[in-house]
Amino acid sequence: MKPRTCALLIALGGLGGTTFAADEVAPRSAGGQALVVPEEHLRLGEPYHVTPGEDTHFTCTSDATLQRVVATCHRVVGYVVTPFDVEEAETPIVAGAFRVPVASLRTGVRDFDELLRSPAMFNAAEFPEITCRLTRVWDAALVGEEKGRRDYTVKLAGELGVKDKTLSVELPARVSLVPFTWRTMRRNVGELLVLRGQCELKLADLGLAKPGPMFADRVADTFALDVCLFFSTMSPEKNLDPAIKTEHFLKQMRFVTLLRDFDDPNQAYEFGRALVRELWDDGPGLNRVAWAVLTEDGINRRDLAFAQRIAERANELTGEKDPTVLNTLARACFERGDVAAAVRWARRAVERLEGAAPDVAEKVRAALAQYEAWADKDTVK
Amino acid sequence: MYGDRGRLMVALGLLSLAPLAAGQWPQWGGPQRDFTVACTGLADRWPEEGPRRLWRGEIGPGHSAIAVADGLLFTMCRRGDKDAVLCFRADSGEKIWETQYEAPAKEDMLLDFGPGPHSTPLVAGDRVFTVGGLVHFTCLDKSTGKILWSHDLMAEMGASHLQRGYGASPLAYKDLVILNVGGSDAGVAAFKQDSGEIAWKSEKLRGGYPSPMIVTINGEEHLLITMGAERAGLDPATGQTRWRKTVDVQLAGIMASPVWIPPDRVLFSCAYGGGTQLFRITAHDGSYAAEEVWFTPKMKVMHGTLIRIGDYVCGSSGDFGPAYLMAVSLENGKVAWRERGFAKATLLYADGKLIILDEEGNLALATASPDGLKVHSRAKVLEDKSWTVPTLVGTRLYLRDNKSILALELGATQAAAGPNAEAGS
Repeated sequence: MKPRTCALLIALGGLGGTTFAADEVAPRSAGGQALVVPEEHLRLGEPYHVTPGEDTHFTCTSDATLQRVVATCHRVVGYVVTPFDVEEAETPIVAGAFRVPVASLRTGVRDFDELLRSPAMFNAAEFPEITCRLTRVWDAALVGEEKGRRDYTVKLAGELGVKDKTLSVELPARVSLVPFTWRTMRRNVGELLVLRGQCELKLADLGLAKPGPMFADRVADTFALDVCLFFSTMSPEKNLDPAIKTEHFLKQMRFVTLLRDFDDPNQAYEFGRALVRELWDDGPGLNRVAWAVLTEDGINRRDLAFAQRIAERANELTGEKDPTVLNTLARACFERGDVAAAVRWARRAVERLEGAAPDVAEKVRAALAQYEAWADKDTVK
Repeated sequence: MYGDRGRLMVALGLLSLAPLAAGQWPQWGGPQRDFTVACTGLADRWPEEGPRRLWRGEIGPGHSAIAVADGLLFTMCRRGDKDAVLCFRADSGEKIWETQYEAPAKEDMLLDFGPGPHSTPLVAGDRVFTVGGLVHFTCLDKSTGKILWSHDLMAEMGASHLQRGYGASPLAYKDLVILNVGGSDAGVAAFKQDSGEIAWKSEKLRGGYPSPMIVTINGEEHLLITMGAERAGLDPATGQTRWRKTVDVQLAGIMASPVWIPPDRVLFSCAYGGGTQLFRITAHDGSYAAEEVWFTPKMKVMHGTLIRIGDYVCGSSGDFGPAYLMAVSLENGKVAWRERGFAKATLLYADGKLIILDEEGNLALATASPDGLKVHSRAKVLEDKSWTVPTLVGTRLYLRDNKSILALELGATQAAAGPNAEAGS
């Protein structure tokens, strides 16, 4: 097995849940967007899962003489555990672990992204993730309390796993526990927790050599680590839609995890093709896969032909009557440069909007307007 | 040609149903509306593959629980834009009748879990009373399913579908049927069982999912209602308010039915950032008041059932995060124990045992004590999302999900797994 494949399989774990010793960093759960919280941690209290996405920041800033580079990752997965009776506990956090896909560290500069993944730095092919396990929490102080929200300052110690090295790190942090209210529900459902902290790390401490002459003055010896992680008691892998089989929901999530977070199109599309075979008679299921390939943020390589084939099958299964499926097919045609077909399918989608939710109708009409505008440009050319 | 023979067949049919009429579960929550059944003879554990399935039949989507009377099962499901009321034979699962009526969903509904029906039929005498997700209140003939009278309570009283579909279950009181309305015209209303004529309307109150129940406090009957942020006791004969307590708005999303602890305490539990509250209802010179005894944010029951066992209350706490089966002390609200291992669940209590059904379709048999929960048997019997609380009559358990309705034998001498029958309906 290729090292990359092997490493990824270990990182993603199996599709079933397993109990792992708490002195290891737990593997990802079935969909790849959470970690399997070990039994001994569950016994300690309530797990809060990182909500990967825009509000999860793991940022490394290198301020070298000739360049400031900010690498940000929004795809941290992990958990912390708070005591059941946190009000009477000495610390608000009693356990935690995280995984950060190297491929999801993005600087906005292609050269730097490639440098980060290269064997010279994090060696993503062999070590696709940076891991972290909390080992100690101390000096906790309740510094604020308002309407059920509790703010603490704490010191966190952990073991950071970078490539094949483990090193101890300390992070002064601020932890806010936010109870579920009608107001917070608009942001995210569940009880919420926000963890913020900063520290400075040396490249040498991480076992990373300073890159060669091309980057010598563009990468500093030290970098600032800034984390702002948003957690919820609701796992990102909770399927809230009864119309979707949980097994398929998790498999689609795993497909997107491979494609977006690990930037591994080979494994992702191999997994995606197997998923599509399972969903071959499920129009809405195929539509969800196609839509993810076409629109999910952060995907570097979109297989547009794959997406179009799936969308065509979904459209066939739904009898060319489902405006969301027609909209996906139009998008696939548009992305592949067939603007005339995009307009044709989008018009069909608009014709089928009767009974559709207002927000869906608005998006379908906006898509048609966009494709028609492009078609007009083509005509002018 | 078939007249006399047909009548004879009907008579034989009724005779054959008679031996099954030993137990009744005519309404939401069972005989006492508390999900607790006085029965004996349940097996202490099941075979690994689960209790013996007596029959299984097809059903449509919905979370309406199963009422049982005179050997017949009554429940509801959705058929496209229609609500359907269904009647099955308890012994075989054979469908006796199905009555449908138009009930198209409204544009302002949240339909990701379907529009219902969530409410459980009430059987009283020869009639069956149902309420659909769109608040169509219907009285049907128990034997034939013929609609005897109906009210469109959204049109007539401005009743609320509560976005996800009406969910409270009607209650029989003397010759009346009482139900939540939560409308611009009335909070709660009572209707005459025979004619559907309105007997009384209460003051206006927001709609609510928990079902009403009748309790006796200080020698007087109180209709205990839970409507949004209001907890109240009404005179069930007139609808006049005897007491009323407004709670924090975070506790307005309550769905679970309350637990009555005689002679004067009532417990409410709410998810969505809520918690569990115990009130004492006090009487002074003919007037009543509700006082909070304790509140704990540790137990948050969403739409499952709460079971009182001695000095403790058990429930499945959790909404979008992890769910725990847990028990709190009635004395002070302190958590006695938490047990993981089940998704969000509903509970029944019978023969000293808890029957647990989690939303993933796992059925379990357990005993609870102040020290913890001991699970004796567990088997997957239904599909995800199994939100409907099962019904126990004698030692037979009736269950449903969004596709199937089935009967299991939980008796000590009959629970062994055997041939599983499919109902011919």
